[in-house]
Amino acid sequence: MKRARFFLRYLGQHRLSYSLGILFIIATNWLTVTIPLHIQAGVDLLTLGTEELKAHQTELYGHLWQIFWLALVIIVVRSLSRILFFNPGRAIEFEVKNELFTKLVHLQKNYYDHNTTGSVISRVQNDITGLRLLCGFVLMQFFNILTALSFTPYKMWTISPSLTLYAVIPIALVFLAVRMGMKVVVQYSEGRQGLLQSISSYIVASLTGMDVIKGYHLTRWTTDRFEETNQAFLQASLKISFVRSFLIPILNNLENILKVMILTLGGWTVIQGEMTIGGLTAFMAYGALLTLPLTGLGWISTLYQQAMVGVESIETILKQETPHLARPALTQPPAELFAQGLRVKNLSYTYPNSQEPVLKGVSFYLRPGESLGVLGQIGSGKTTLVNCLNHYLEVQPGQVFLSGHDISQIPLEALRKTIKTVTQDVFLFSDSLQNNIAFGVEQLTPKALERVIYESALEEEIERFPAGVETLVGEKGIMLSGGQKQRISLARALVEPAPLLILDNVLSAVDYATERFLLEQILQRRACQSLLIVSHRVQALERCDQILVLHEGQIVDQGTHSELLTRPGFYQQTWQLQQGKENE
Amino acid sequence: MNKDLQLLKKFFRYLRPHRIWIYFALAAIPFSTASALLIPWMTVRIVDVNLAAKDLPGLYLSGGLLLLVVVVGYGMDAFYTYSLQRSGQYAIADMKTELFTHCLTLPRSYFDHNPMGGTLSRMTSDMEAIGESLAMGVLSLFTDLIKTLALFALLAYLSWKLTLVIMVALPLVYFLVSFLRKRLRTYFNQSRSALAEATSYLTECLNGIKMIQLFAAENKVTRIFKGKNNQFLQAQRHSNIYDAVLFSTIEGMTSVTLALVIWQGAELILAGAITIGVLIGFMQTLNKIFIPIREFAQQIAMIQRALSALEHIEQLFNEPSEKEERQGPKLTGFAELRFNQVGFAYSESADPVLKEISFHLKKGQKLALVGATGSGKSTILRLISKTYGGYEGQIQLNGRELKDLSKTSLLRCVSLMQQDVYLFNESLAFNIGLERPGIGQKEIEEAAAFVYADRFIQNIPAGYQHKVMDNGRNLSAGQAQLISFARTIAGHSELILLDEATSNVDSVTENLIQLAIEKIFQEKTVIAVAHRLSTITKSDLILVMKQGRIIERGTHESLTEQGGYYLELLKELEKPKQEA
Repeated sequence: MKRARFFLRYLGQHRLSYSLGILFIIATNWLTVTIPLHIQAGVDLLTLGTEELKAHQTELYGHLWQIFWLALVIIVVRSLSRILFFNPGRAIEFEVKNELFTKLVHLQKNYYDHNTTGSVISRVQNDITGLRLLCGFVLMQFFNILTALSFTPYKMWTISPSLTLYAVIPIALVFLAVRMGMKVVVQYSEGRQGLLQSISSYIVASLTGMDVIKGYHLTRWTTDRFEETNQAFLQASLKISFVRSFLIPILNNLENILKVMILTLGGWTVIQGEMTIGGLTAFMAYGALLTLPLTGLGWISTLYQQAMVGVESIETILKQETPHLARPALTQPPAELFAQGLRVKNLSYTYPNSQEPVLKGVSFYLRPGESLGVLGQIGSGKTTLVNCLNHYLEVQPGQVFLSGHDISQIPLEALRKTIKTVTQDVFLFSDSLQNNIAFGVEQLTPKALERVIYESALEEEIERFPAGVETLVGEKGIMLSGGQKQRISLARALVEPAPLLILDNVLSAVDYATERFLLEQILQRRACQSLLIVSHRVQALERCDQILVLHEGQIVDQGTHSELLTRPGFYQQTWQLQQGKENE
Repeated sequence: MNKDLQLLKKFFRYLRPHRIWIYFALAAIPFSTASALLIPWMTVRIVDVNLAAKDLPGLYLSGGLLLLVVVVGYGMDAFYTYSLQRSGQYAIADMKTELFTHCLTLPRSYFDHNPMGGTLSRMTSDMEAIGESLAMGVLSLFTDLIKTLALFALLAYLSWKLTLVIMVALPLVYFLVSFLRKRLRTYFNQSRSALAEATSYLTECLNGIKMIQLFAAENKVTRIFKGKNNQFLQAQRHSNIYDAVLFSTIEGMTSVTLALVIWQGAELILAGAITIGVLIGFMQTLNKIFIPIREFAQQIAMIQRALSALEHIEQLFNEPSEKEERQGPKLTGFAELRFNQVGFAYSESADPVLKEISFHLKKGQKLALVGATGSGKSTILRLISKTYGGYEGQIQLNGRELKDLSKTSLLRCVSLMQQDVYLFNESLAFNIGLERPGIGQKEIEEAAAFVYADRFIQNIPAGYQHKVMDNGRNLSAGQAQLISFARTIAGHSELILLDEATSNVDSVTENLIQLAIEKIFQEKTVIAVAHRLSTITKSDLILVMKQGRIIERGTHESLTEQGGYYLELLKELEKPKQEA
């Protein structure tokens, strides 16, 4: 019932189109069933004999003209009825897709932790097909079948009630046989689908382990196993082929079966003088008109069920809650959000499926205009800290504050316009370099583009690229090195000034000279007021106003570069180790 | 066209062994054609003979015969379809197995350049496409054609003048239909590419969702997506119109032709050239004549699909197999390994990953390779195990050039312990023994005990018969490592190539792995890509690699004293990996 409401909302938006569509369908079917009446009249005139026929020739041509015009009108009316149903179906698909997309980009990390990209795409792609068919084809067929199956038997009844009743018998039998057969086919298909999946995963597994298979001479063994599954799959396919081969022609032969019946029983009534040959011909024409909607009846119910499964699956996305969108808007402009800096109070964080906290009681205060460095080993919780500050991870209230606002209460858009993060893992769209850099802003002037390209040390490379800033990058574009990707992602963040810029281990894949240049650019702070740099390289941090040393989720030391160098500890050690490398 | 024929010829090779079913199918065709002809003929007869003469017994007899004709026709059609599908399915199954076997012989480099998904599609969806398209396309195209020709012959026999009327209408309908179809195809292609674009954008957005949210670009990407989605909608709108008109036209043209037939029929009846029964027979047959026109394009499209699938498959078949060297000199045990100025690149266009690598290893020695990711350590192991060939310089095993040794004999003396453990979905015992000759349950248990894997195996209820699922999902990463160690040990190889795993394992298993590696170090000759300090310090020689070159070499002590790049690397290695 709930699902029906889901449809009705969309169907309602297109009610005009649908209502017209229904009218045109009724017209189509009404006109279609009048054609055999003219055939009947025509044939009856033809059986009158040569003399009589000559007398009625104009009458005969009148009927023929009628058939001719009716056929042309039906072409128009039927086309319109189909368009009026199919277009809203497509429009609904369009609307639901947009709605899904809007929802998807606002869903947070915890949703994507539980749903793979593949399964989400399959929902947007495949499950929606069912919905579209339902709102277009299935709905049209429903009305089509409904009217066809009421008009046709009615017309048949007017010719011969008893013959109409007899016709019900073969139709009912065929219908039952097909339904039962379809059930078997569906059942077999499921089994076959399962086998197909196991073949697929077997192939993937075998190709993955090819070196082992070859190295240990297991090719024969592997092939034998494959052959086993393949044979089972073959047998399942054959079973389906068998049932289908004998099932589908039953429907195609329904018309013939009706013909046999009409010719024999109808022939009897003709001999009895209760019906004319014209009536017999018209009756056969009606018989042919019945088979199509009857065939359709079989699969609209299957399609309907499929669509319902799809709708359910789509709804699981649409029903996801996005409470962060409901956060009250800020009274002050976002620019002032950082006016009093970032304060972290006793921040602890534990990942949902784990007991061990990754951050334990971290506290610090970052004033506007200051730069803060975070040094720590791999696994010390640096990235987790960054993800808490930009609220990529859900932080409990009362731990992180921006100018007195708890960040768990700040609307995400405002928060992320205030805190810009350049992450370690770089994501590039299959798009031009320019559009990738302009990703976070609406407009990018050529001048600004030039500036960020300089600031992120991309000038030289871009000159070498085939199409300069128009060069395609990402999956379908040219291959970029890790360092190049990092610099593009840096450029992205430098485009628009933000009150706080976080760089999470961003410069790990560039050489030292470039790193020095980039740091210089960043520390000039054209793109931000405050800076938070996370790294395991001291060089990246030494010019920060304040440095935190993170170890196993806790701050174990903190101070300026010169302060930290004076006391033995992780910072000093790392500094000594990395000095040698730098001078290499 | 020529290429298509060749592709079909290839497929027929697989059909040959199952041709008996094709013969059965062919045998059914005359019967089903006869039935298709007899139905209108009997109709004419009933109207003209039985009804005209008011001959009731004759009517019952004709009715009975007609029923028989319908039933036989149905049975023959079904039998024809099933037989051809049967032989086709068998052929496809054979082809699938052959293709799978072929894939297993492909060299590693093939999979570096071709995503596995593509190879998988060749063996699954392309095979499915052939099965379906052949069933829907070739099968019906052939019989529809025969039946239509036969029907025309019958109609011409009944009245060639009336047949001419149909012959005039037919090309008209055909051109109208193919015009509409052409337009439809244009919009169809448009909408397909629009859909593909929207989908790939969606995929990208989902993959980059974190970045989108961190840059607050949700509204921007939504707007772009809506634009792409709208293009799809517009293309669909157009194709809907043509689709609707096409469908309605075909339906309507039958009625128009019907009017023409009655009009001409009336003239002929007046002239006494035909009877009313013949006219009714014609009217009843019209539908059937239009079927091929309705389905022809679709059937051709189906066959095209099958051909393109066949072509994909053929391409994969044509990928050259890895050359198995002629049975070169037999290796009897391991004595020494020498690298002399070895260089290597994964493909001709790529930058070399190894440059001027030279070292010498004697039986019993342990060699550790250290360096940052991508410095070329694992490539050295891959060259020695002949996973890749085509190196420059010399690699000599027991004084013989590696190129001249066959992989089979090499792998008897050299074993590679890879980082990503591959496990079969079979019992633990199978995974250790791998059905190698001379390795029974006793040897398996010994090998397991040697690497301390026996402890955890004994704690599993099913023990050695525990079945591995999903490449080891029901084992921990460390346990999987131990199983692969045991697998290597069971083979009694003398030179072990160890690619140490970097992933974290629980501390208990980590201890066992340490112990196992220590034991292997005691008894075997080892070349290790080392990530553990304990492994490195126990080595006789350490090669420090950077960007494909050996930049430092020596023992742990001498390198520490030097205090160079090595020391810095150590600092990194000591730490637990994996940032949460």
